[in-house]
Amino acid sequence: MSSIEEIIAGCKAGHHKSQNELVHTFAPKLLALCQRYTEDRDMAKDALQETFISAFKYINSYNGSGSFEGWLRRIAVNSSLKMLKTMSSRHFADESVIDTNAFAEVPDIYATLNREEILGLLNQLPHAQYIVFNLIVIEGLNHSEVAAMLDITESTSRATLCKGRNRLVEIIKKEDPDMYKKLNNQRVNSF
Amino acid sequence: MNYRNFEKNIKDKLYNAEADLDINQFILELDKKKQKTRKTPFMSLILLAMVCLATAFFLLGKYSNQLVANNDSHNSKLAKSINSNQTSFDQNTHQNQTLTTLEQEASNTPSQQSLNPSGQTISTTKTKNPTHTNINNNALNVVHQKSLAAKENKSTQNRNSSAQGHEYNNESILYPKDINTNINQEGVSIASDKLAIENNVANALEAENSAREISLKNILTDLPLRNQKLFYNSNVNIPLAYTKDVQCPSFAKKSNIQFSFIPEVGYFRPLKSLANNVGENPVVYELRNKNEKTLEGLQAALYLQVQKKSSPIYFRAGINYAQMTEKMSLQYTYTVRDTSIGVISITVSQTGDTITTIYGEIITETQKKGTKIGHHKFELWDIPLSIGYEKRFVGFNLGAEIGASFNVSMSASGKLLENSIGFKDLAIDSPYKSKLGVNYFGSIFISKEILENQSVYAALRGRFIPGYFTNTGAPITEKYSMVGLHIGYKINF
Repeated sequence: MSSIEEIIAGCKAGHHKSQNELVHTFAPKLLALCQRYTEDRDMAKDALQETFISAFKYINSYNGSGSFEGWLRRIAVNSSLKMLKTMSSRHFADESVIDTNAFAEVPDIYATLNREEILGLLNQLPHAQYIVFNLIVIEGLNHSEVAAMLDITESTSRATLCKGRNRLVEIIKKEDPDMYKKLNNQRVNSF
Repeated sequence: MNYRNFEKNIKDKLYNAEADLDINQFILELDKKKQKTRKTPFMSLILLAMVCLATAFFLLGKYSNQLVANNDSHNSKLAKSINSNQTSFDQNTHQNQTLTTLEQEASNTPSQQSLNPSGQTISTTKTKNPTHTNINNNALNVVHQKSLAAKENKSTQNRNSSAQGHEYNNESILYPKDINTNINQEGVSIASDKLAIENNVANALEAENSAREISLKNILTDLPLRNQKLFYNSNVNIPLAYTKDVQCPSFAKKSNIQFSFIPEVGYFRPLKSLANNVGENPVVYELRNKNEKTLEGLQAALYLQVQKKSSPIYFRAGINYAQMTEKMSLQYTYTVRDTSIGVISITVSQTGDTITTIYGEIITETQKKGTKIGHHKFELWDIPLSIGYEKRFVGFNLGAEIGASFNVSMSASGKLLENSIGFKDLAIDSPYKSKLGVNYFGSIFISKEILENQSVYAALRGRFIPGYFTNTGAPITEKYSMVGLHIGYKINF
């Protein structure tokens, strides 16, 4: 297996083998990312294809200054959002809101949730809040980047994130933590 | 756990999450998609080629329309002639206006009916042609015929056409006079009662109307509209699009501005003037002034011309390259002198005498003579801006233009005379400027259109460069003006 630098150099030279290695290395992670932004797995796979095609096309513009995975993830996010935009007409309401639950307490059991359970929780958010939450909390983008990416204002991005957080806390309050406790016990027992 | 930690926990778990994926299958799908993506530029090229072809066909169509328009002017003369024939025909039929409609009916009834309610005359002619209905009616005056009928009626029409000297692009027009002749020669007049005639007229009108509908549809579908000649009376409610005076609308974008692209080449004669500054060795100046010969210059340019279509004045801008060469033929003469030191020779003879011989300096002079040739070349890049006036004459245009040219670059290379016996390399030491600034030009030209929207021109052009080619303070200053012949190819778009 080649190092990531060798793979990148091979991709820049247009070597098919290096491109395949790049896909092998990053496809599972990027697919998980794409799935978080798209509506179903097929759309996520399409977005992933677009991601790699764009990456191969523009790999010469990657100058090695930042993380290559971060560069690829950004492409994947853009591809997913682009696909989502073409497949569905969702919009972001331009409004302001106060983050009232930033310091709320969350039951400790939520720390034990696995990926699917977390996604199940997040999927209860309205779509716009879900997207902004993903971009800022998980991908680590700032509001100006999100604003540019989603073609919204920074204040809208902030407001949407706040609403998302508030909503998430509300969902957690409504959820039965015992349910997760039971699930957790089941998982422990299964091992 | 506070909310911030909860978010951090979410990020940790989701950021590096991986999804199940059959990567080999995914790579196959990706390769297919990449191939599709590669095809896209190729398809774009094909699309572009199709657009170009469509444009070419459109332009060709426009050109042929112009030809047809020329034909139309000829045909209008024919129409006048036909109208005069029709007048005589009307007189022959006792002021009855004539409606003649020749249509191929679906049935093969070999009969031709002529109804004349005013004259109460019905003529029936048996021919090999499909049914023809000739109606004389005060309200109608239409002559039109379907092409198929024309083909079948070709022999008759040829006879008629040749008799009247009318050739009409294989058009199927049965001239009123011909019909009149047919009626007079072949028709059989019968008398009938009024009711019968009215019924006949009603039936005939109905038949004619339906036939006309079919005919007009067929005309539109079978034949180009511009090749149809429909003669009508204003009382007949025939759609305007079917009438003879309608010209097909041009779908070309009607722009009032004409843009032209002009590549041009030229051959010019530079007129040089040298001036000797104080301090210069006049020998070099004299030699250059006497022996330096300016060779012919070459020029190439690309222009974009803008002209209001209704105006003879145009504006032109572009880029111009010119080069010219100086040839210096140096005939040099110089003497090389070799001096040998004198030798003292002492010789003692047998008698004891001493003979001393002193040889003085031996001077050898060699005269060197020859010719050296050195060239130096100027290359000029200019942005010319000009305004011109073009007057149209039959078959050609005459015009004149003046303009200013902004020299953006001048380079000199080669060898320049340095002294009376040698040259210096301009790459090492050049007295010339790198830019000349503004210069001016004027020209007169004659142009001729060779294809639609394409013409060639020949221009006699003079160019005056007020600035010196040499740097300030150069021992010899150098200026040029140019006169040349330029040939351009103008493409309107």
